[in-house]
Amino acid sequence: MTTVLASEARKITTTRGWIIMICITAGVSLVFSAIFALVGLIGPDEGNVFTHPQFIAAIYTGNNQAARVVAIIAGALMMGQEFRYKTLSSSYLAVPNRTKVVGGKAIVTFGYGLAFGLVATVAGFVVAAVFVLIKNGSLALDHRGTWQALLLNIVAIALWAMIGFGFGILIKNMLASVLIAVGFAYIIEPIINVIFALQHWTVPANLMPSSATSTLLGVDATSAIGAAASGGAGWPAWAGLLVLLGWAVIPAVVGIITTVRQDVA
Amino acid sequence: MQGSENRPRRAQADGDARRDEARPTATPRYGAGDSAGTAPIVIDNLTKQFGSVRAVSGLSFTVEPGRITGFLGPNGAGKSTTLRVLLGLAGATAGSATFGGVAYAELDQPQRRVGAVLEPAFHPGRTGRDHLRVQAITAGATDDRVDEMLQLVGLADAGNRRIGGYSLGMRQRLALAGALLGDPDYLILDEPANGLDPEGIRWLRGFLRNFAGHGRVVLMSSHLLNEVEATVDDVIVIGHGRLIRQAPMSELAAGTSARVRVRDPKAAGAVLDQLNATWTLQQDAAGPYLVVAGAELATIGLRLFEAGIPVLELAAQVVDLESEFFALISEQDGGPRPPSGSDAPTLTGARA
Repeated sequence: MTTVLASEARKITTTRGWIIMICITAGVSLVFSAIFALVGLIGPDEGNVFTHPQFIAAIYTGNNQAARVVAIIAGALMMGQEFRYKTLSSSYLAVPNRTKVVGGKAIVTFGYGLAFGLVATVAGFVVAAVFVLIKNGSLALDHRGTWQALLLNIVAIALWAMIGFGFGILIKNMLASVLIAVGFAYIIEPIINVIFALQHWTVPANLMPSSATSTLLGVDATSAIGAAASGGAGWPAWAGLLVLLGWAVIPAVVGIITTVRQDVA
Repeated sequence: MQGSENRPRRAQADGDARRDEARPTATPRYGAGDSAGTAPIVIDNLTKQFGSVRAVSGLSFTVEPGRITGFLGPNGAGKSTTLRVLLGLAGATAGSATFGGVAYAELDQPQRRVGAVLEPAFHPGRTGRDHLRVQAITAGATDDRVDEMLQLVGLADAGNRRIGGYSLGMRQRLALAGALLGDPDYLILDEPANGLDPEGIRWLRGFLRNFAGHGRVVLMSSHLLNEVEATVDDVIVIGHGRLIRQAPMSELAAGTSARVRVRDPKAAGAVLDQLNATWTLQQDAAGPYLVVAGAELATIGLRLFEAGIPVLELAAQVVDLESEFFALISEQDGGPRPPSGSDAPTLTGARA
């Protein structure tokens, strides 16, 4: 299994795609965290919001909804590229146990996703640090909630890469899987969330990945509508983690059972 | 080599299956491991169905070590499907395809046992060298081995360039380098000559000869017999997923024929029919000529002279495998064969 992991990791590092994706993640994370911070500058709040741990955590994790889209694309590309360039033959010739190949790829994808999460979170931290310095606030590192937000932001983004990985297995066309993954994250899921919010269906709303991400982070970094949908439910962080894990694992498992067993064209 | 019956040699195959535990190490060889006991590839009553299409149907043959075996048939005959089942990329509907009784999926570190050159498929953004380095991990090959293989196939200078800029011939060479990383006992090549220039084909021929000469197994497919006729020792011909013929090349080429060039091939054909000879009308740069089997050169010359037909050229056609090949396939089709290639026969002898 070690060789499978090493081989899959080398597949990532030997193409330029990962550098581009990491740079994009850093860029969008800086922008999105900065937007959250700027809201603090123009906000009507009395006193200094940059001393509120909850607000600082929102800056740290404000990049999540942007970074996770990059992560979902990167995840979808993991299998998508193999389908696109017909390199699965080589992969299966090297390791005939296909579950092992795809399982190894899943583990590497999670690690790859952690890298995206780390880059996004560091970017968020840098933005927060700049504003804290300027506004004489606090990084709130003495708060448990801050560390939860920092660490779980990394984990959440990695799990979004896994969601993309599942899409990439299920949908054999690389471009289609990427478009569907992004469309799901940016269009379909918010629409469903609006419907759930209007119907006051908090349980199904909490079962959607973006709400689960908010629950996991303990910070409302999602859209106002998403926040409205999940706001009152008050699920614990671990429940959000479980839901997100389900979204990360179930499509991949379905993919292994269905498409992975098929003959390779 | 068996005749057309081809019952796979199961007993031997099974006996060789567990040879890994006690490999003699004294046998000299240019790579790692031992090949003296390399078991044959055994295709046993293999059937592969795609929906309602039966791509391979009850196919049985064996591929012996120490020889280069050509796996021939027209496009769509089931060659690639058979190879893909053998390599575990597609599942068999019935029957089996094994390396001496061991399925590909059951081989430990398969890249060290079997090298496969399939239709070249690479990530275009990776360099040739990095492509091999990805494969090297599971093949247990070092970076030095990677460079050695690049050198071997003549890609040492192109190794650090992206594959997207490679020609088809370079991709074929890279695929071969990848197949050889683990120093395998079996080499399986699907249409390896595609995209190779004449020099590359000549090089490949020499390489395969050397490889098989060390007691290893080479199975290469092609839809063009004359592409492999100078390379292979044994020939397996399939059509519509069924075995048509398995024979040593020498046997296939044994039916020596004559090349006869006349002004009026029709008239000459009538004379040859009286001789009970089989003939086909072919075309080359100098115009049409007859390829005649089943009659002595002297007899042909004499009869044509007696019939008053001027003979422009009369020579022994040592090997005319292309027409032999097409005759085999059209026999199976039970009808005229489709033209293929510039020197495809255009007319078949009445007694074919």
